[in-house]
Amino acid sequence: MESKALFLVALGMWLQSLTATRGGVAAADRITGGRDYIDIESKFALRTPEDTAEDTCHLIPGVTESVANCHFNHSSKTFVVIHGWTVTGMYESWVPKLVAALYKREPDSNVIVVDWLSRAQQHYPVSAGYTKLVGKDVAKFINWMAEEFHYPLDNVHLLGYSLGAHAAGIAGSLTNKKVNRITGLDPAGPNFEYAEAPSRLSPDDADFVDVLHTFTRGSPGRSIGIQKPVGHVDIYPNGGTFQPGCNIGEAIRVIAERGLGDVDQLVKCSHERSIHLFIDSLLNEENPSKAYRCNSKEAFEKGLCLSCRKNRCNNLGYEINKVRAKRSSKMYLKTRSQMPYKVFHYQVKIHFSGTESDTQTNQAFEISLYGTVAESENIPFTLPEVSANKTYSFLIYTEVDIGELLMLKLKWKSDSYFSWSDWWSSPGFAIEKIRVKAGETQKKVIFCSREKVSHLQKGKASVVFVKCHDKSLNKKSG
Amino acid sequence: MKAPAALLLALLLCGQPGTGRAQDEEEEEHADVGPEGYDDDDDEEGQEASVAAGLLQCYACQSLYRGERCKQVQNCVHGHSFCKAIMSHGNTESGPLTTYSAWCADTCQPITKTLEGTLMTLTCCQSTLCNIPPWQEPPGSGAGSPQGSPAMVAATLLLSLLPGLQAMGS
Repeated sequence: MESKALFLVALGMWLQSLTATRGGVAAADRITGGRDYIDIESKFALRTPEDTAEDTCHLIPGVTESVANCHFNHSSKTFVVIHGWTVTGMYESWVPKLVAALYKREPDSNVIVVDWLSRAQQHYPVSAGYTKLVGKDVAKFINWMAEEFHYPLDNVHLLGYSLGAHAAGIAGSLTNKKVNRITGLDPAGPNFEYAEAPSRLSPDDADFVDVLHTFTRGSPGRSIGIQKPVGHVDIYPNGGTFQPGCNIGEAIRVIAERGLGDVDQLVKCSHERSIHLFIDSLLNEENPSKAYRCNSKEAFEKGLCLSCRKNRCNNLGYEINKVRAKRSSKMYLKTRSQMPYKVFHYQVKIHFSGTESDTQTNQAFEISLYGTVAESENIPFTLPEVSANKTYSFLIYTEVDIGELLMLKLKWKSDSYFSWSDWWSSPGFAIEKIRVKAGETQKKVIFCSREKVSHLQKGKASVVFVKCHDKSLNKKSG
Repeated sequence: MKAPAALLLALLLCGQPGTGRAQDEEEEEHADVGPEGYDDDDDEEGQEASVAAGLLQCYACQSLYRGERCKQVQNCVHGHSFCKAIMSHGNTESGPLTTYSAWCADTCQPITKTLEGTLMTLTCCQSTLCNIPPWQEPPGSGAGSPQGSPAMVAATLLLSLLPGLQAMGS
């Protein structure tokens, strides 16, 4: 972790030296409006659907005409995007992508990008400290919009990434009325993990605060993303620690393909995934990914948390249901390694019967699911231990929508291609039924052995189970 | 033989939860709770399975072989308006095998599909005991029409359950 941070800093300094032209310009050409607004250093660019990449028009607090000049739409909602710490002193490549996705989903909206680049390219602790001032700037801007134009704060949605998430939180705590929503995209961890609620993002900062945690690897306080829940709904995709497709092997492949230009992307891959998950939710509105409330990552991995009763599941991203639980709730889901990120989650429960006395550890299995629409074959899973007359529950997930489940195949893999011990006497268990709970459809399915009881033997042929019962879980009956 | 049947019928008409239903429920409960007892969220259902008029009755059996009778009938809970059945036919190690399962369901989309050499046929119907295995004689066939009075249906149902009830009573 330490070495990674050092690498980031070194990379930052190097790139800074390359692009040290920017900073000074901002302060010089400021138009000073009302007295209260003179100390606002952050800039508010209203981007357009036509030009999502450039800050062509600025809304200037205190300068009434600036709002009309930029064609601000007073009757529709406003998104305020707040970037995070930047090593390059420039906007990162996700900014125009997020702006474009917001306009695609809400064509009439106003998408404002907050420019606090000069404060965001300092040493991390310095920039972290600046989130207070940036938050104050944003709050002043929003209050001005409300006072000057009676713009309803109920129409304001702040989206902050990394340090920007905490800036958004501070802004929300300082507005005269609460803004509608703050979305925290992997809020920064260092300097904030143990901070009090007023100086970081917290549930009090808006009517509704939703948070995506995507890079919380390492000990608390050291991890890039904050580990503790800080919103009304806190979602930890893939456990929140690290994201699929962000490992070293993937990094080398990307460098080979796109050159070193995207090298900063790799360091932040998991961190930035929070943004791309949100973009995905804006673009793929028919198929929102579902997240499930769970007490622990371990319980989720066992498939024990795929319930949607009493708001226990929610949509990830833009279409989230605004559920405000008394205590903040951690929610989990699995994702693909690229867009669209959605997967389908299943809990599988198997009871192994038999007279086998040994307990086997780390056994590899494969399961295949067949449905009305498609199939998903040879999904691997490992059971940490297997012994007779016990029931095991685990989570599997697949990228394909297989429709209504009809049939299931199970295979117990041998330890290697040719294992002496398996050949001598391969262990086996009797299985009558397999129970599967589908998270996305909220259906419980029972699969029965076609021969009343099937014998699953290690290293031998796979065993077929056919659906023999199903029911919906979410329907209120009676 | 006549007396206990009449007694049971009376019980049924009084709306008392009879033992006949308890048998169904027990099966349902068993199907839900795994030996380790997770799935705390698993439905308080079955409680509302009152024998109210108008609710559907379906056969409820899992994985019968060809020729095997389905002896269990289920009173569907409110909202479950389909009798569902799946027939699978395919080759196994011990030769060609046909299995049949039936139950009450809230949703049902018929489909026929061959999966890995196994022909799966999912059927849906919405009338009393319509998901009978194709090789099984309908209850009271020849005598009463399928649209017999509810009391008639209840009586035949109870009679068909009698052996099980007696076994439970002992």
